[in-house]
Amino acid sequence: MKTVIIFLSLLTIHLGLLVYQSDANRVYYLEKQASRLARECAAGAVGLFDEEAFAMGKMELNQVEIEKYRRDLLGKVKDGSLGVKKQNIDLTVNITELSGNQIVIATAKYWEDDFFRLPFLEKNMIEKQISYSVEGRMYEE
Amino acid sequence: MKQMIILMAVLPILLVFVLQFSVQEQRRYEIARGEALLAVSIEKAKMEGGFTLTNKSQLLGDLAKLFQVTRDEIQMDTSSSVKYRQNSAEGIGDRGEIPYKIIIPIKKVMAGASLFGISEEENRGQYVMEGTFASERLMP
Repeated sequence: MKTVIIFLSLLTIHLGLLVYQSDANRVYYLEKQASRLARECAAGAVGLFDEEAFAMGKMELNQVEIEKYRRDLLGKVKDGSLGVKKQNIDLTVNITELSGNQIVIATAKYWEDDFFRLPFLEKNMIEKQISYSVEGRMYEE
Repeated sequence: MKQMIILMAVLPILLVFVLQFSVQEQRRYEIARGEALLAVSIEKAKMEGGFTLTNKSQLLGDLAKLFQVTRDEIQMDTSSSVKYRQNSAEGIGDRGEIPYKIIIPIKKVMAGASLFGISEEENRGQYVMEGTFASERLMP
């Protein structure tokens, strides 16, 4: 009886660890995919200049075109191979200004009821932000 | 003796878990590295207006080596024409966007599959990298 109890407890611990590892890996893969989506959006959006303002000697982003680009990119997102549905993926773009430079901040969000199957862990949102600035083209994760 | 016999029966079952941990850890490393290789390739493709043959073949070669599959087993779909940077999201051509889809087969999903009677065909999976990015090549 003692052996059976020890075996069953070992099996439970192992199963728990295995389930945790596979869920954590899936979250990691989804984070990679989310940051790829955000980077593609931010990098594309930062290239859309306002031509009229450019003719006046100003480097300004064209917000209308950026919104169109964002909607187009989001429309092209398909159901992921890792089981995240299309309706659970969102992409937003914010344009802010920092010391005279315009910055595009793209945020990709993936959400689900719970990414972890274990009862005491909860994570329902994966969020990745990438920003590109018009001058210097720096970006940060 | 009884303990010994029980150990012989239980040990393989518990050892499978240890092997599975290492398989999953290896997979995580491969995918992280694969994503990094793809990011480099995409940056090159942005400058060149699309995946050139050299860029594509280098990416496929690196991925094949990393995932230990042959180059033909990796599927890569991308547009073949050169795209140019657009100033508007509804410009001429295909809006200067370059789509790509890479499907990498994963041959060993589960460790010790033969112990549970899972065949090699069933013990397979795939990792898909898919997206669209804007070209940065200037129009001549």
